[in-house]
Amino acid sequence: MREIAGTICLTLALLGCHGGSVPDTGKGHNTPTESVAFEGKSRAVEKISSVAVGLFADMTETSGVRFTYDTGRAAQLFTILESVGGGVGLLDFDNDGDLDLFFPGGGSLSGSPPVTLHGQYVRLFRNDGDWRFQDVTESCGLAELAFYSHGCAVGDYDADGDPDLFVAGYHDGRLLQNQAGRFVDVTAQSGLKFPSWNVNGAWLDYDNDGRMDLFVLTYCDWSTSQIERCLNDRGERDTCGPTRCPGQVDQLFRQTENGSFEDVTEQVGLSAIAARGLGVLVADFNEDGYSDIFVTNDVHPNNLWLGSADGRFEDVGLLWGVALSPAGEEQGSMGVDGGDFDGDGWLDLWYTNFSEEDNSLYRNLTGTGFLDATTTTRLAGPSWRWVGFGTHFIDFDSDGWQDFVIANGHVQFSDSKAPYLQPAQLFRNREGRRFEEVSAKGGSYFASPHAGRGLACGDLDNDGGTDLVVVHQDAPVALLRNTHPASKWIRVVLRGQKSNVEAVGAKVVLKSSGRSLARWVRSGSGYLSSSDPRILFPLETESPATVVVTWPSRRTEVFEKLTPGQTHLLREGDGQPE
Amino acid sequence: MASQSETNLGEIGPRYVSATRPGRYRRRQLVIVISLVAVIVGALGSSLVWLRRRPSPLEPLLATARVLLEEPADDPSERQDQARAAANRIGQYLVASGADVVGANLLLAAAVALRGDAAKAEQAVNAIDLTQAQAADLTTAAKIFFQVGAFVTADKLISVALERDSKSSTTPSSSRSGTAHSRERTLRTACLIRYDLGRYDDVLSHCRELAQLATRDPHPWVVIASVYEERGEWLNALTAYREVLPRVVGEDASYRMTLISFLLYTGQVDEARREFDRLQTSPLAANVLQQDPLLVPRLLYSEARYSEAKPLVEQLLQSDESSADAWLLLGRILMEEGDFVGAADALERHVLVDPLSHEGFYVLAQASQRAGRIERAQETLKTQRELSKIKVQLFRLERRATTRPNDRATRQELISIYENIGLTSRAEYWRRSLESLSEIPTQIQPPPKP
Repeated sequence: MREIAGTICLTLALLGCHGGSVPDTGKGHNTPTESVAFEGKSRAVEKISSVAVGLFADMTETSGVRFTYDTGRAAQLFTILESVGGGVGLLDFDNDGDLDLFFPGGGSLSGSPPVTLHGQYVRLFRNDGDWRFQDVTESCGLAELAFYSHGCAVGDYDADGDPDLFVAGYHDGRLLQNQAGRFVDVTAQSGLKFPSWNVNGAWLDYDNDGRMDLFVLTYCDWSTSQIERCLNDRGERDTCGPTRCPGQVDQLFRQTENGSFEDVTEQVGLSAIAARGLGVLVADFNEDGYSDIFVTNDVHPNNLWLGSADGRFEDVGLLWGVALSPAGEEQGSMGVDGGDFDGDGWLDLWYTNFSEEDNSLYRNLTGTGFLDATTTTRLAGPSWRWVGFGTHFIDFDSDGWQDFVIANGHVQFSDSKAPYLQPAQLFRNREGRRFEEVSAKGGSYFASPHAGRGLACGDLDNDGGTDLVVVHQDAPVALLRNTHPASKWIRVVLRGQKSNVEAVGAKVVLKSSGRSLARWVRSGSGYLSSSDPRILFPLETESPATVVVTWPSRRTEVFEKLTPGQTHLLREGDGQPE
Repeated sequence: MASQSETNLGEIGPRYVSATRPGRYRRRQLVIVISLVAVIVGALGSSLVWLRRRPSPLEPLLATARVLLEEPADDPSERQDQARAAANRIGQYLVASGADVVGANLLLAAAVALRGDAAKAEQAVNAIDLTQAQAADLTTAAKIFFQVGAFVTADKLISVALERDSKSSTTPSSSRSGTAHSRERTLRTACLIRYDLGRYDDVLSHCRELAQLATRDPHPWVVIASVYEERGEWLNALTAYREVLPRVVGEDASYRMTLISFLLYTGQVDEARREFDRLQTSPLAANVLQQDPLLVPRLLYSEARYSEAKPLVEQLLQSDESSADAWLLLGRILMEEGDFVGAADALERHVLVDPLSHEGFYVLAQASQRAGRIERAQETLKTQRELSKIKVQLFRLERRATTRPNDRATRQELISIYENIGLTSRAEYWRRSLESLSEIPTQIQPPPKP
């Protein structure tokens, strides 16, 4: 390229080539205990109404969910703290069969350096069905919980059958134990200590002892004294970038037999790298039975920590080709997810990047590495202008091919090249070969720009379609109903016995009509958020379906005659050995 | 009081009427004399104006010299002849005491520079009161000094030229006036000189102004696209380049090829394919594609048509083993085909040709690891990280330098790093940019009076 537009060409262009110029003329309720029939709405009505509203209908206004994540922007200090944003956790805290919503609150800043941080209260909304939610923050014991928070990780760490919460924040973090629908802050007795700026967490069982451990994602070493005057490319004061903020070491806490946690960061090898983490995905990329951890970093090579039998992790991000851009350059990477975009049964990797960088899609080479597939699938280009944060693999058109959703939004308020508010995007997967942007058909939410951050996916109305919850910077969250739910579907919830209770790391394969759809139980994923842990499969026929589960214990079981339109609880050991 | 009565036009008549006869006579004589003097002075004045306006017999000498110097030939000997001929005419003009001494001296200095004695010519320029020179002559001289490598003088001259005709018409070229045309020429030359000095913000400014004046001219957009390309602002580069093709009259194959390259770089594969299909309808397609023989394999690679891309790259490598880009593309294709040993071998060739390719070392590390060459993979990775750090640093410095035209320290740092890693051409580029700073006037001021 540089040769093409070199000086010679310029000389010709500027001085001599006048001959080439033109002359100067002028979203009911199901309990995830065995099989419960779906009570849905008329598909025909859904389909007809969807034509007018697009692929997603904005239900925020009538949902009763009124929540705005507070970045602290009002103080006009333009700190990097404010740029990270908040997420959302989808969890069935009351075990009534539907997903409820938990939001970390963010916070505000005041005073002169060192500035004082004031945490904003977290909020919990109970799903009462039919797209109505009730604020139950106080009745659930969370009314006093306020610290500068970002992300949350949902997981049944005590294996008592209900989901617990870890909330990450600036030099803080809270372990909230769900005690029959009421949350109790057990951080002090848990053994968890947070010396760093935490942005999110992920539950996993790295040592396969059956107990859930906690990975804590850290961003960078910024202090409240570090109030700088940073200028954007227009010379105006704007949000400070990450490069003056050294990266931090992420933490791994191992759960002991008595339910407390011990910091094993150093002994497992994670202390070798200090980076600016913003996204985390736990899955078993090489199918060796040990959870791996992929971390997206901001202007630093991403890490792919491969788990092993001895409990230690080795970063192979560079050698596996997912640490840098295909051209070998560091990226500003944020949201992340894993799925099987090309239907080959291997877990592919997807993450969002800063503007003037394409988002990145990597094809898994049978667990030996990855190859970039961004360009060949036509995902290069359409997101170049946008700063990508929340994202997810989502089969929004229920055709079995995993599509993408992205929440975009700039960190700078007046960058000359891209606006602060940016449109969210939808990409439809065309049979694993290419993606087509269909944001224009997404509905009203996708027609207007936002400062998007956390994004979670889940079937909030249990109708067989994956819905969305998006968190914005200093603006109300959005609840979006999928208007194209699958007409035939099954949903599975995995419960580990020998394996960890959440079955993080398990692979689930639906075998139906000669087609195999592979999905995985992941942890982390998206951006600062926790999505629906249940796995939804669209079906092509009304015939009972068969699902093959490979548990983290490496046991593979077949679950047959699963009735469509129901949520099935699959317990490890209850299936037939394959 | 007297002056009052004299300025009161109503009293003029009665006073004359009441005047005595001899007095009236003297006054009549006086009026006649004054009138004659006025007529003579008027006639002399008109004659002088006429004389000044009449083309001097010496003017063709200067005009011919201007034409000779305006478009110097590419051939060195022919250029020498041009310079000599121009110098002769200017000499005659000066000996015969032509009126435009400043313009003649400036053009003479330019001719001397073109003849090969740039140093002497620069000295001559320093002695000229440039504020008195015409913008057109300043532009001609600036272009010549730029062509002979006297960048500092070239920039100095074009700065004055830009200042001189900045207040001229910004009328679009559809109703172009002489001053607008002169402004266009000045802007074109300014873009050229400042692009080479890495003053990209200035170049963008000049080219945008030029695009407004010459609305149907594709070339300002070509330069704008090049500046964005240099800055790594690919989407802006593509947007600018999309303005080029609609303005090209006649054969546009080479422009379309460049557009396809931009499209591929920004991942717009489908649009690249459409443009390529259009390109193929051009009778010049084959010739133009020879300029970038990797364009077709790159397009096929982007479309995941690896088996079609591979033979084209291999064929290219048979004729040119030194193509680093071809080795890299072959390595990538073989990786996609699962031939990791072959890929690693190809990529080894790539880094041999381009030892500063951090991209190549990154892909080589992956290929080596999958080919079982673990030790080599680790070693390669180490090199890649080192190169990457340097390149990130260089990218930041270059960006800073182009947005801060007077930042000496950054330019000096760039020169030093490029020299250390052996990229002398880039070092030289930034040295030129640095040297030009010492002479760039921030404001045009008249020379001190003797």
